[in-house]
Amino acid sequence: MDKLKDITYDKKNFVDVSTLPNYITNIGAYIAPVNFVPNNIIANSKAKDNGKSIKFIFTASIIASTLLVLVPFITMVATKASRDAIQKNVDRIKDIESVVNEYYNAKDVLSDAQTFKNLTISNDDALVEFISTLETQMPVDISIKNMNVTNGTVTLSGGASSKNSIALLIQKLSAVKNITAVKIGSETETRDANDIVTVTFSLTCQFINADATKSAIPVK
Amino acid sequence: MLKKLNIDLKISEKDKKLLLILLAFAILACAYYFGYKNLTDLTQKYDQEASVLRKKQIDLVQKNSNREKYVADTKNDQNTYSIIFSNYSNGTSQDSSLAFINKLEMITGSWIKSATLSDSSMIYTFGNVNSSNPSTSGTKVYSSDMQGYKTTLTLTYEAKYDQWKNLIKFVNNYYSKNSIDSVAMSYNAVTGLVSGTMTLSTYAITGSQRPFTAPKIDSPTGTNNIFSSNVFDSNKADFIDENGEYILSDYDYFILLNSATSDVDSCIIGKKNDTSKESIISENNNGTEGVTVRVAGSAGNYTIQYKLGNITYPATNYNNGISFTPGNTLDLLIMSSPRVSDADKNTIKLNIVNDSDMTLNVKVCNDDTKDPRVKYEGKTGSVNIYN
Repeated sequence: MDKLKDITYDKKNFVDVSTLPNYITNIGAYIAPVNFVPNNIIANSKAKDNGKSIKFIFTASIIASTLLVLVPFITMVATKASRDAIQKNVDRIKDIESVVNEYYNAKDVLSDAQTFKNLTISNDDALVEFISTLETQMPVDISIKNMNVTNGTVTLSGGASSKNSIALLIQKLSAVKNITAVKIGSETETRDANDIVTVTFSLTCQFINADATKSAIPVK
Repeated sequence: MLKKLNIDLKISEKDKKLLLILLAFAILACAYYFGYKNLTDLTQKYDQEASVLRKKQIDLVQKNSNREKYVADTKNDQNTYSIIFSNYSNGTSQDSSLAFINKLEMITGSWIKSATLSDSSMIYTFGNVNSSNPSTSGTKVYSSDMQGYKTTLTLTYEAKYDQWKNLIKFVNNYYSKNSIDSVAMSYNAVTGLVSGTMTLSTYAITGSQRPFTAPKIDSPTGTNNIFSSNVFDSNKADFIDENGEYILSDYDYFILLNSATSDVDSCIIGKKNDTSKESIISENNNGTEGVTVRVAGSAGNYTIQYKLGNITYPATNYNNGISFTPGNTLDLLIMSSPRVSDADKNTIKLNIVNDSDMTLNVKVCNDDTKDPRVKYEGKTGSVNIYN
């Protein structure tokens, strides 16, 4: 309350106008039941409150600032420690990377060499084994006259004393693991003047170089 | 001065409070921007790094648990690579093709009546393989100047049955890779001879680390009449193998010697056609290394043991050796190579001990003529060395 309005006073009372505000307190006391508080009291009270609030705000800001720094700092230190611990573990076994890289390198370089090796492999690399097989499996009354071999594909012609011998040859060759597609193309039987039977035949088959996947150093 | 300027520096209580409030906010702001924000960013950064490292750690731990397998497989692959490369000639030329045909005749007794020599063709370029390593997937594994060549020979031959078999066997088993593309044969019952044609491919891998030396042919040169020769020798087929050439296709164990800078280990020792690679030991060393090979036993029961530096085979019970079955003869092939430069010092000091009842035949091929890689330190028992 800044002013008292509509208050009249008698000049005979010799009340100085300037002293009039001093009565405001009394008026205030009079009207206390309606919580009428004089301005200066309010101002003083406000001043006191402001002081406390300012201190509170300042202190709170310091605390808040400290917390704002301290909490993330602790979190940061903990995270860094965790990272460093993991880093230490990683460093301890990091050399496995070079071991693994060397492994893949050796594997890939070998694959390069293997690719070239595969270009140079032929089923005919096992021709000597095929000939040995023929030597052991051929019936005694069969003889080969001509033979052509191209990458394991065999075409041969020969003579036998009977059809049974040719049949046995088919059975024997078919039973060999690395020989497939044993087929007789033709068979002709002739009889000479002495009644001796000769059977001429042609045969095809395929032999596989089982060594193709093995070392390039051949079997002795 | 301030008085002269009539500036009043007195601050009212209200302003002081205002300033304190501002200061409080300034402290909060500083704490947020310079403290909280930076530290949070840093925490986030460490967290991300830790996350990446954690994944890496899991990966490394898993790999580390297979460390022994990686090391063993790497060694195995390197040995296999070395053996593959040792099976190819370092180069190709018509004189070497003719020398090979001559050797074919000499060793097998077959008669090569005619030969057609084609130009060599490049069939492979090494180094174009992409990495299978997940961490470097798709990149080139290595660069190399090595190239694979194929030379086709068409031979017309005539031979007795056993000679013909030896011819096939020699080609199939020759230490330097050959391949029969096709072969035709017919048997003459009257003469007892097998004759026909054979198309043969010979292969070579060339490169700066694989120096090629032409075959050494010892024949006198010089004539007074280019249209006449007084020393024409038509009986070459009756040659007696005095140089152990048969060992080139018929050996029990081998030693490979290369430059330490080559793509393979400088010294590799092993059993012929050992697909398990169990018998193979190797070392890469650009110096002199001691090699000991000992064979023992009798009457079909034989053992072998060998040592390269400190590496032994067998790795355990070395002194007992390991049993093996030799062929009709007991043969060791040493496949050496010419030195690639003056800095190439790889040399072995070979000590051969034969305590068996068989003669051990040692054939050294392709060694450097000026500074051989094979030096003999000792020779005990019955040992024939063919250089």
